[in-house]
Amino acid sequence: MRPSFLRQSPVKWEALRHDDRPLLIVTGIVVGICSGIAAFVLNRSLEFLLEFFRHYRSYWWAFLLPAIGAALSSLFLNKIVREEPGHGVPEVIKAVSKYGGFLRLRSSFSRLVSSCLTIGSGGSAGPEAPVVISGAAIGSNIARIFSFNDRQRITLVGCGAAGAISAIFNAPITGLVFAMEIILGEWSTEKIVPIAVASVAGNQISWLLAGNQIAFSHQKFHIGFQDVLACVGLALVTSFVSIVMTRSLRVSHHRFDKVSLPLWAKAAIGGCIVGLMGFLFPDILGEGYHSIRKMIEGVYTQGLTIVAIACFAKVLATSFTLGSGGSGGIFAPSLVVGSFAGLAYYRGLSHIFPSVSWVGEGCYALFGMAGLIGGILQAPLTGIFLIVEITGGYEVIVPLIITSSLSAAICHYFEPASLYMKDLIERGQLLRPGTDARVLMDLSISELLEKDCITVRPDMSLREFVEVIKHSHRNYYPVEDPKSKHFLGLVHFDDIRPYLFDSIMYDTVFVEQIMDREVLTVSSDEDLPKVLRIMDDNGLYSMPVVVNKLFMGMISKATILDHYRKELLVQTVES
Amino acid sequence: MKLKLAEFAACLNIPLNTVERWVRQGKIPIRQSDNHCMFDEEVVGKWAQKHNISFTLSDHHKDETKEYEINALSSAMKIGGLHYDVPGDSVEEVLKNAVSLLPDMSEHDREILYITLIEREKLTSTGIGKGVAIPHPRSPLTGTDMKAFVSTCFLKNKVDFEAIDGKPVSVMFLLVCPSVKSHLYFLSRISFCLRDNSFITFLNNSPTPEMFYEKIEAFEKHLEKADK
Repeated sequence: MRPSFLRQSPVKWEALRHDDRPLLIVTGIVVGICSGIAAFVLNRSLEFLLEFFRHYRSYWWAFLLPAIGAALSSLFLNKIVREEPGHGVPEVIKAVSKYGGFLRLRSSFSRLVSSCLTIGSGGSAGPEAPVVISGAAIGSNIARIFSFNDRQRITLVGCGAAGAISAIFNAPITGLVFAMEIILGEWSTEKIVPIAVASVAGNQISWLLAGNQIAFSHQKFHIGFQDVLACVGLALVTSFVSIVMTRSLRVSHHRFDKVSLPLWAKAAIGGCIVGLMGFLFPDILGEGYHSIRKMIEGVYTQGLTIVAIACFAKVLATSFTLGSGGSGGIFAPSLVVGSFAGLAYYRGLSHIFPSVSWVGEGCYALFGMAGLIGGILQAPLTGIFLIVEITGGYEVIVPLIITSSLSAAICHYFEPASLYMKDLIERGQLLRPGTDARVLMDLSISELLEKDCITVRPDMSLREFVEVIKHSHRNYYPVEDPKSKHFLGLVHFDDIRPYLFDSIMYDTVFVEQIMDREVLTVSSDEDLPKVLRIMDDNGLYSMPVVVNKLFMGMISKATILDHYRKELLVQTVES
Repeated sequence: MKLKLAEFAACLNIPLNTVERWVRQGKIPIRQSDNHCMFDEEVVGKWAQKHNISFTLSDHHKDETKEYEINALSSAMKIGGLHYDVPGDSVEEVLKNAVSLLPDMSEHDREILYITLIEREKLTSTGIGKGVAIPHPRSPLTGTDMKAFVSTCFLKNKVDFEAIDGKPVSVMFLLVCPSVKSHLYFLSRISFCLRDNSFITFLNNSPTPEMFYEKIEAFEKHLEKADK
């Protein structure tokens, strides 16, 4: 896969090999541009499809449209490209934390097509996650072409994600923060620079292709002290809605998992339900940017009750769409739900305190969005920067910080893991750099094996065995069958120490009489955390590693500590 | 600089498969091609220092030579040399004269060596019986870069060392080592030789250096065979 010009001229590239920052920045720009194009393509296709289906919305059978779209999307994912349904973002996080950022080439377009079918036909989901996984997959595959190592590949995956978010929302800082806070989970300077550059590149390409659109037009807000106070209450509301939405999405996933129907049929059922709900609340269909725009502009006329119901209807619609196997992200739905929640809170507030002059309902819709992003994704910074950038206004920052961080903190109390991470944490696949789990996952037993043990035969006399002890500096002596070489047991020096000086026993005792046959062993592919647990439970400091009944070596806590420390230093100290 | 990956791993004192993983994950500034690696010594040195990992290019070979030094008693004896008709009538006198015969030593070192030999002699006699003594310093001469040596001295007059069996001493093995490990090693080898009564008779006949070394080498071969 590596281009020949790289193979043939190692000398020219030598400087870049030792200091790869320029190389990463250049490739980061390419990845950012690709992500930007992917975002533009998906955006335009969605607009086209929504426009195309608008004429059919009034027919009675319109509720079948999301069903057909979801079924087609499911068929495409499962039968044609053979990928799992889902948000996409957890897959990127998993790839980063477990597989060194490796993503398949087909991931760079598969989610674009499937989410286009799901959302374009009216399914309630967001286009961000598909673009993020596309961008990340492009980054990963560009890294493969250049035969980059894991660290460089992960940086490019981050570049892809940053470029995607930056291009969709026309928000370069949000792209950078999203990649660092959610995708990579670390803030190292060597990664920030290429990702920032990629974020800007993705942003610029979307300017070039679509013009400098601010997704939600900018208005001047005049924040008063009463608004800042009110944001504490709003944070409570948004965290409540966040928790409801998180649980609803999970319950829906589990319920649909239990239904024994073909995947496309499940997706179709989910789509039908969403379509029917769409008759009552047309605003819940699609990615929902249109209704957000209306709410921010303050032209959304429905009363408190309707808004509150619409808020939960959107939660349900998203749960049905994604839970049934539709393809798309939760970013845009979170924004829609957040703006509904913010609007409902405003309506309630102005009903209770009619004499106080609040800043305006559009502004509360924005705060609600930040609260939901903070709560559901548990990424307060992403929420804050997103709203600041998409409104282009800096004056809202104080209420945003309050809503977003408070909401994230409250949600963290009830739901310790965000929606993106929860499945990964349950499966033990979230391994952030520099953590205990990461270090233990990286160290394999084969790296820790101590091979300087001298093996002995079971028919050896104690006299011969004492000769062996003379030449060993270990306390353990594995016993092997002389013919089959199978591991039979272990002689621990401590157990025989008292008899070593008794020369009468030298010719009367044999190794098989003094060896421990009931010794606990581990195999070389065992997880290190499990091995350590066995050691702790049994008060052991060393254990023999046995594969296919053959003794491979010893593993000891001392060696683990030595390597653990080196590994931790290599992972955490920036070079 | 180019090295085999296994050699490079040895320089870092880290298992080969860990180094391979670090290269794959991009945690170490070297480049791998097949089972070799290319690296800039300075860059790797800085990297190792930053991560508190020891990195020495030659460390690997140094250890091997050290092992080799300890291995042969005969070579340590050749360094120390054979000395005939060493004069003196008391322990102090023979030791003083024996120390003055040692090759390649400054006056200052001889003085220190003599003092520590006497200190050791005051603890208990180094006369181990059968007319043989193995005088040695009270503690190993650590911190010096000298090699271990055994100096064999045939005394002009028999001297009373207050040995275990009361016999006066006619042969001395002056043992000086830089480490406890080598000290124990040579002590055990010498005592192995002395267990053989024919060797005692052989010593009492003041053999020529050639005959003596030949005999010691024969003993060592015998020991090595037994080890295997």
